[in-house]
Amino acid sequence: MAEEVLHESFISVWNRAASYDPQLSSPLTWLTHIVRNRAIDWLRSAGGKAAEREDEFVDVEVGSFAEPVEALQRSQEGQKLSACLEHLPIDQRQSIVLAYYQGMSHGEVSVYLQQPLGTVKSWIRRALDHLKDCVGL
Amino acid sequence: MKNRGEYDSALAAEYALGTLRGPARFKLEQRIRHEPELAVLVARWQRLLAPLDHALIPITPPERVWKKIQLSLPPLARQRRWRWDYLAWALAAGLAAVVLVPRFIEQTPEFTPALVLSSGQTGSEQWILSLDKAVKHLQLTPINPQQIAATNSLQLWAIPAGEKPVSLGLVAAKDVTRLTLDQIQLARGMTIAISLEPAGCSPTGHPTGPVMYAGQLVSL
Repeated sequence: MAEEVLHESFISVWNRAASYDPQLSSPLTWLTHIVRNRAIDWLRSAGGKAAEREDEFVDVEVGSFAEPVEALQRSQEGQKLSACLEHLPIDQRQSIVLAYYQGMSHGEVSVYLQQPLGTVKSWIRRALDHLKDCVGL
Repeated sequence: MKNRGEYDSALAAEYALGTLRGPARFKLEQRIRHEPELAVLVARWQRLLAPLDHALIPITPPERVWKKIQLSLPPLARQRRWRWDYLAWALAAGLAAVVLVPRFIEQTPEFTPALVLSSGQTGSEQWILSLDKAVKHLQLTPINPQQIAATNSLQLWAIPAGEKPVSLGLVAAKDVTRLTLDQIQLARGMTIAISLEPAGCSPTGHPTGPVMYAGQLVSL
């Protein structure tokens, strides 16, 4: 299924290559964005729903944020972002990490963390607000 | 109450994070195409979050995925890809750039490489056959040319499938040869071969010596 997503992503890349603007984003960021959206679409699709979603989610120890943080330290922007993530209350940070790495929707994060949907939405919104001010958009 | 800019920034943020879904995402993607300011905003958010990708461990996909992608691309793309493959292969086959680049520059620009003639053995000697657009002239460029005995000549032949070889002329062993194609119109599927003949040329009008190099014209 990862191969399917990759395949579709590259077809998208091919079709949308003309719209890539090097002044807006690096090729890697642009590519990653396309692959992420494809992956999210796949998760939402029938194939994704049929797969063992819960197992995939449980595999990741979201509580321990240590590894991503270490990897983040490698670049300057990464250091800044990781420092800003550290400031966040644990719930907000977890919500961001679940959404970004697991491709979870608000609803899925709320089920996963067993919190009301409205609460999760506001955690994510506040977390993004904080990152915007802290990292600088 | 948030102003429009703040609202858009929040939308762009949720989009970059991946939590903007369904019709809302679709609508934003439509807007990005027509609103440059919004596109900039989205790009900034993507850049802000991009360092999170550093934590991912790269996995190299199997070769078959790439092949499948190639097959799904429009024919033009495949053709282009093929040409690059061909070029890369030709380069790898011993195309010393230092030797060849000046030659390609010297030659009249309308010659395009069409075929590589190789020997059946593992010898490194090859010939690049180039054609002009009208397929009225051809040019043969030796790569790693070998010396041949003074009592021999190299002769070039075009062999239409199932027919007798037609001589295209003699070929210099260590130099670029240009020939005019007035005996035969080259066509796809023909085999092009170089045979070793007695000095001068084949006495019978047909190849008498061994075929040294050959290749098939797969595209014109």
